[in-house]
Amino acid sequence: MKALVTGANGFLGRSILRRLLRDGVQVRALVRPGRTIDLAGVEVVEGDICDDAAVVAGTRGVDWVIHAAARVATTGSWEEFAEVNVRGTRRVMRCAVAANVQRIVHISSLSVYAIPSDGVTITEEAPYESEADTRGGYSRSKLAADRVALDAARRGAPVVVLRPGLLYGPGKRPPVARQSFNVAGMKLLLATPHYTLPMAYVDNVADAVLLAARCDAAVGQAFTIVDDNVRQADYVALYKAASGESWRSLFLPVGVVAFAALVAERSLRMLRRRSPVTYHQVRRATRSALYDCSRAERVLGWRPTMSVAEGLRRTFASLQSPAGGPSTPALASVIS
Amino acid sequence: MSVPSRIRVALLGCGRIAHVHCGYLRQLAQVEFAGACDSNRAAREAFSARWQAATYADVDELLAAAQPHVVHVLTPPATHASLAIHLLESGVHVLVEKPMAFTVAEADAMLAAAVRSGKYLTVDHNRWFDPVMQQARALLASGALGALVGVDVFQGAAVGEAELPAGQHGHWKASLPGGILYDLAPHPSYLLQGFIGTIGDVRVVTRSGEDGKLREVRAVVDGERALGTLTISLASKPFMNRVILYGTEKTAEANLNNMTLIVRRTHQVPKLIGKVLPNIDEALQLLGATLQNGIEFIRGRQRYYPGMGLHFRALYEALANGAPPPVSAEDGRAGVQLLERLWEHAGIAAPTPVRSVAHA
Repeated sequence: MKALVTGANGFLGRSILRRLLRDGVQVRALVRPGRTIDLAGVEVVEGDICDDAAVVAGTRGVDWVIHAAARVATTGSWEEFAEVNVRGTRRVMRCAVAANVQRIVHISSLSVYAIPSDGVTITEEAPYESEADTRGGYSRSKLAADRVALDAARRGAPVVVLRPGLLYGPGKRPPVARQSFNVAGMKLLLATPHYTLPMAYVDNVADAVLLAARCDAAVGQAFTIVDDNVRQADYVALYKAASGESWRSLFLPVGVVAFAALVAERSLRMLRRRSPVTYHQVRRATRSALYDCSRAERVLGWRPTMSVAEGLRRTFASLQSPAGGPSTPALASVIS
Repeated sequence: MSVPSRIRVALLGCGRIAHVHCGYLRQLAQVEFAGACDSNRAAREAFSARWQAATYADVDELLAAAQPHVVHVLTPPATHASLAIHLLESGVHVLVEKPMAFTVAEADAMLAAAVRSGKYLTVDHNRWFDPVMQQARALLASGALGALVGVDVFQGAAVGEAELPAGQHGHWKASLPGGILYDLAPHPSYLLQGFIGTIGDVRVVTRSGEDGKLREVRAVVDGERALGTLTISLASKPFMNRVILYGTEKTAEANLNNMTLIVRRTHQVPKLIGKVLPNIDEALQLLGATLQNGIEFIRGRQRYYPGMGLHFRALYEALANGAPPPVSAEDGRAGVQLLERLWEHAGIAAPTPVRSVAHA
């Protein structure tokens, strides 16, 4: 078997490469010009998914295409997101079908789902987010790309869509919450203690990718890939235990923050300006949902092999210095 | 995914009128705005920046990424037929801006595609839904005007509209065979046809300017329900858009620019008072309507293209309830039929349809 991986230099892409190599799959990586892959045995094709010739060359002669490339920046115009996430996905689908590949695994996002109320259970049959326009270019374009991939499947392409949860794992400092701020040594969390975090250890997702590539019954379907729905309060305890850090945390009143976002949004709209954070963004990001992965278990035979506690322990071990790693991003940069 | 709770609507074309469509669509609870499409990157970016909406570069990208249930076709009319047919065959309901098409042959092909696909095809006859037109239609339907015997429709050109530059850097409207007149004619045509019914005999006289371009068109039309006249004038000032309904009991005059409706009646008074009373009656009606419009403006309810908002409200209420659109494809075809007769008499050939659907 031979697989092309797009986005091979990304956090998930690197894990997928390692998983495929471990399973004896020949791997070709599509990487942007000037970038390299520091893994032995990987064939590198330079170019990106916005380049027809590169995608044609990348898909030629492979059995599987794992499409993990995406623009994940938190700023930029819609055109920039559309060019990579929407047109790029269309291009990958088109070229993969033309190359007669056996499987296309598209990496989507949990952000495609609507969360109509707190505590709702989300299956793959849940409706798409209907307010994506208020959530910035990334969410909007990932939703469009998800539709593009499933549309290709309806037209006969051997597509499987995976919607992984909040990715974490070795090499990347995990977030304390979806939104948090460091203030005077204290962490302010924009969540309730009962809010659930849909955690997904990066190697568990790579396992799901391999299973999706091998499973004929998965074609044409989407799968939610979440290890565990962890209560925010429990997650903070696990995080502290794994990192060895000690800090105090405070849960911000979500309703008050949402109201402030609403006031800012309406006030700025009157001035014909756009608020960096909208009411819907805050509500969407703080509304708790339980992600049901039973379809992935039933059809793909997928089960997370790494618990959240162990995953966090390995993650912090990889970072070596608990104080190191990237700092917690600002509010506007993580709500999407 | 489960059955959608809202109707996903997308726009094909990101020009000026797309902003108006989007503004009204976003007011409708049963509509989810799905995105817009234009091959022109600048138009796309301007639209996306203003409405925070997803935009796409071609029709098939729009269909795959936005997966709309309904698409509004807002491209130049020469592209309407090919795009609408492609969309209908792709399984979406279609609303096309006026005119539905340039020729009856194109309209028939669109109708056939709608029948084949089982999808609705409708046309944005927005002025039919203007508040004053709805009042006039209600008066007629109630019998208050008596039997309809005649309809006059007058369409002028707004300041600067008649002088739009043509050519590569001009507006597509000015490059039409009949110039801007070709673009102005659809509104009065569907209004006239809507009132007088199936079109019979049509007599047309025209006058061109010194540049040889058509400036004035007057038509007398024999309709199934009444006689009608249609005037399109580029030269006359001030700019007027009016519809007069002549009934056996009363006459109603709708001013579509100022959004006022005057009903004229016979006053059973001595002859001398009869010279004065109708004027006072009209003045009071105008004053009342103007005050009403002023209040509506202050309340933020008076907007450009009011009929478009009311049309969309009626359209999406109908679709949400599984009912057919308020303007049928046959209504659109009837408007095209009158237009085709007008241009045939005026000796103007229909523009060549654009058949490519690669880029909207």
